[in-house]
Amino acid sequence: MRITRGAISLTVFLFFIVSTPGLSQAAGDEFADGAHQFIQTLADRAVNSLAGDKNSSAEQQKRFRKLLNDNFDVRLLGKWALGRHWRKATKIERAEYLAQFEEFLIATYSKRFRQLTTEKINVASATSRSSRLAIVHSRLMRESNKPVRIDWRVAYPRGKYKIVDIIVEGISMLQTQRSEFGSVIRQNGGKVSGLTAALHDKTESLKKRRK
Amino acid sequence: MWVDKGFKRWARISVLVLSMFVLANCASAPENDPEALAEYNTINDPVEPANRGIFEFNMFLDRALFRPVTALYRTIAPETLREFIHNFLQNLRTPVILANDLLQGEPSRGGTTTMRFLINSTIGVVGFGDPATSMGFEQHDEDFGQTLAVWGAGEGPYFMIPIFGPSNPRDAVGKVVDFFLDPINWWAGKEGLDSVLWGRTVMSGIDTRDQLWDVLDDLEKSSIDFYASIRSLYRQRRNDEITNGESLDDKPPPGFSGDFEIADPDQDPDQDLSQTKL
Repeated sequence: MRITRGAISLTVFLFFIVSTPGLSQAAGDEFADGAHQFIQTLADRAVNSLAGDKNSSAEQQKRFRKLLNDNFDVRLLGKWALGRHWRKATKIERAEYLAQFEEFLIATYSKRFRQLTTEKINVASATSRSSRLAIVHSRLMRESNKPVRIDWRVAYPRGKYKIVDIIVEGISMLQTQRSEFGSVIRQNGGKVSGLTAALHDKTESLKKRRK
Repeated sequence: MWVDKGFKRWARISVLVLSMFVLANCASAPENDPEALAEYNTINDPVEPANRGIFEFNMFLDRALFRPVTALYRTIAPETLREFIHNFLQNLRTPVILANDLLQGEPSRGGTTTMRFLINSTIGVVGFGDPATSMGFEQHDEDFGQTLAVWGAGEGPYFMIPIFGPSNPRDAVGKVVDFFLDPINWWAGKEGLDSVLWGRTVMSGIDTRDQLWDVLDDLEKSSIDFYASIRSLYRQRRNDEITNGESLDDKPPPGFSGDFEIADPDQDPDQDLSQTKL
């Protein structure tokens, strides 16, 4: 019991120290601010452009494809998800893989993104150590459930803000994909074409399920 | 000890059978390719073939038993009731969470845990409600596996435990220590109330499966290698829990090297891809 009482008074004391935000060092960072703004705009726009989407599934896919290419660097995502195998892949293998990778992303994430229309993203802060990469911290507010912590890695290739990773409750999409893709390639005797085929099959089965 | 003899014998036999199975199914490390070897070492899943077998078994068990039981639970109990039960079970974990908060040298989090217990056990009606969260005392979880990590223990090789799922030596030891840290287990053991132990275990199992319902469904549908996804997710989730969500500084993602250029990938001979981390 002594520990408990001590802990309570400590909490009350620490509460005031901890609740003073230490994020001011990043506040002046222009790049981080820009990234923050970018995610905020995306979250608002996703809600508007996909909200109450009663369009045909083909039209929805088209809209999502545009949203994806406007806001994500799909090529970099695909390249990094492939990891060390990118280098060994031939030009044709790379092109085939990247095309299939985009289809796979659309099949997997269009539904999840549409959920944003009933939920709300609160962008809290952004930090950046370099002028190339920022992390934008946000929380997905859901009606009845606990909020979900979502962090966005934002880069600035070719003069535009682009998302290069989404981290949900500490789980990086990029890292998970890289690990999964690597495993599939290994099972296919180190061939990227084996992965491309697996992505193709998965995309088709996801599409069928949706119909 | 209150763990009965029958259980001990059963445990010993299954450990023996399991270790024979695992030894017969070791993966061999790649010898020629240094990059493949580095990857093999980061994945740190030396008994992968055996683990995949156990994973299949667990998936079978899930389809045959855990999923249907949880589906039934979801039909019988409305969401609000399930939420109450989840809160109640979580409130029972307070002593273990508090002990681990303190063992990790986090008195302020220990204070939060204590305040949550006091508020939720009273105003929250013996833990069924969670008014503490809206009062600024947000829920967090701790376990002895995390404590060991904070103390500097490495995770060790990944392995799959039958029924319980993904783990590693550190987290498995943590699970056992948590069991013995829990005063409810001392009490139930001393009083010979096996039904309390079992009831709580079964209920927690159903609750956990219920909490993971959408996540697992979604993941299985979209995975091209479900086993590898789970392995990666488990690691990342544990690291996030260990660092209490602070691991994600503005560190670059895996594969970005320190002086990474966002050039056109075609111009960039992928010098930044060698430092792969899984």
